Amino acid sequence: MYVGIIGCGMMGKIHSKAYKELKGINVKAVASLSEQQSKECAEIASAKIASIDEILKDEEIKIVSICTPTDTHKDLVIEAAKNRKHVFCEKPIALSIEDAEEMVKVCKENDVLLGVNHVVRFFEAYSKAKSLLEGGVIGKAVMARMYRGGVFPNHGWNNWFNELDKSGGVLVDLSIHDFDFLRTIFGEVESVTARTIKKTPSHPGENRDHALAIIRFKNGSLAHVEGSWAEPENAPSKFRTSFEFVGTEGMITYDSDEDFTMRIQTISEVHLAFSNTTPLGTDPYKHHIEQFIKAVEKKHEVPVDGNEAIEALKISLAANKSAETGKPVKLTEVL
Amino acid sequence: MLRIGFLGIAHMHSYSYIRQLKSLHEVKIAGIYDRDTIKVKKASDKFNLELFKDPKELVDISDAIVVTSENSLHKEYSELAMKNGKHVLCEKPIATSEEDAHSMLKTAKENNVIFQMAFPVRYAPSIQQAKKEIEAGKLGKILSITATNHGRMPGGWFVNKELSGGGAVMDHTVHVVDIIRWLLNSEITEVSAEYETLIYDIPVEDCGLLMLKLSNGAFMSLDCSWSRPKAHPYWGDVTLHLIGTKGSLWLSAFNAKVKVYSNKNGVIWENFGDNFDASLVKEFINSIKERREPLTTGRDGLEALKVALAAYKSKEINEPVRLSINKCNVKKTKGGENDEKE
Repeated sequence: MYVGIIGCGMMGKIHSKAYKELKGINVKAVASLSEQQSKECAEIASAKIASIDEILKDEEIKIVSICTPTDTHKDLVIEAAKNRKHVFCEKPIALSIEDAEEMVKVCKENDVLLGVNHVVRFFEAYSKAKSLLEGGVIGKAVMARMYRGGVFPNHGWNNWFNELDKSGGVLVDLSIHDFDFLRTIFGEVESVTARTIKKTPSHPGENRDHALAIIRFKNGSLAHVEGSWAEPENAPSKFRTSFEFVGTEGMITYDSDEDFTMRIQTISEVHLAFSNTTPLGTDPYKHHIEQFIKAVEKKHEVPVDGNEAIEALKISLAANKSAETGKPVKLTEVL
Repeated sequence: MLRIGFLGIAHMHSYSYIRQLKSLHEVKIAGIYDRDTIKVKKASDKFNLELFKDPKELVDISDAIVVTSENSLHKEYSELAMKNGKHVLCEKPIATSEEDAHSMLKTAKENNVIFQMAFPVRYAPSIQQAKKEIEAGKLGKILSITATNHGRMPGGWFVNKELSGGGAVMDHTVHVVDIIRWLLNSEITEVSAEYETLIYDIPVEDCGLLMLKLSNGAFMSLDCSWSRPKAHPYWGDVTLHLIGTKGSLWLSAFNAKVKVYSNKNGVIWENFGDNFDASLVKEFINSIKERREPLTTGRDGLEALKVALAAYKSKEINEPVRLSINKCNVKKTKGGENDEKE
């Protein structure tokens, strides 16, 4: 089966690597506005460099990965669907519910599948916690604290992460991972109270973004989510995730800066001076994409479909709205 | 020799304060009183202390009083001592209503006695150091604070609203609010809260998440839940994550620890370093000797209580609750960028 990749930044490279390792899958072409990044991606995936149009018109290509900045997802997904490509889109699905719903609708009309890369569900520490929670080892899960963040992602094309109308800010781009994961544990959300450096009126003009959100779920459970792009650039640990699930009979915690298997410190100026990592035998991106391909082959459900991505986006948008108004926002208020 | 009496030994901190005070040369514990005769007998036997059946009798022979009773009795015992000219160290929260707290402040003032709030975390060396780091400008202007004060569910009178004034929100909001007010020279101006009884079958809330606004413009979340399970090797935590324009600070006040794996006792975290309660009671003794205001005052107790009460109101009306700031509350130190906006 042939695949095309649109967008060759950090995520484009990750998708390239994941497809490359899957049997029977060939990345036929990659497209990017950056010549340098197209070259890098093409090399990883052993693919040719093409234009977006060439990818979309290529009848051999069955699946298209969309790895571009979020504000371009809608147009690209709709174009791909109209050209009868199944679409595997990076998260967040879009910047508004209206756009996301249109994307889902057009995919359905054209009888193509839409998968959205809420990959945290496939991260081993998270899937382990979920299976432990389901096994009842800490009774019923009732409360959670999630952290995801570190230094500002300055690798984006034209620094798009810094622009609210392109990335939606830290709650839409980053914390959406935790919102999505929490939904798989606690179900649907009732309301959100949030603050973010970029959206809270008392913080005009502050550059980096950082957000706190308190979530009330329909089943009564509570969660605290912190997302950050505000740690200083020279911080040794560039990115960290942690979670804490409290149950009626105990607690499960994880912190990537405490629970890791390898630390590297170097004097190199090319490589990171410091890193904590946990190399694993499996690649969560590959695992997710593999399941999406099975769905295309009609052997599996779409692992995270457009409707689920919309539900996660609603939480992000409710959080942004709460940061602007200072009040709790019900999910039903987000349209 | 300073003679100190204990009115109420209901709070678990009573034993710690007794131990710390007993270790001081210039102090003698005059005796203890509690309306629960079994509880008071137990403490009296354990520490070999004189047991009083009438709180007034104990007040009369004491120079100063430590109140570690149930929260709703703080006012009665504190004022009994104050009206008889005795200095008071009162366990947190100051009281269970703003009226009671105001009355206590007034009584202390009228009788010209020292009224200290037992906010031990403010005496933690890492908190003291954090104040210096912030004032040195290392973090720039503080924009966001993520805080936790987790603990185990204490049970007993803590889950009886009549005596405690509330559950986890009443118990664990005030510590962190106090240290943040002090660290940033700021007051809390708005409170939103979510809380619920989720873990235990008890009549008060065991989980709570607060979202606060500060007078310097920063926002803050606080997790005050009784969510540490019995299986956890430590009782709880006080953590802060501050994001400033020039840097960030992460702090875990009780994390000076060694991890003990004992076949006899299981897995336990044991602290090293200064005991916060020791610094707290020393401050009480020193402020009495030097006739000066203590580091943590009754006023601080009132301001912290207001936030906990606003949290309850916020959930009731499902709206953020605004608090009026009395400008003179904020002690001006060289907080620089983090000072209250004029």
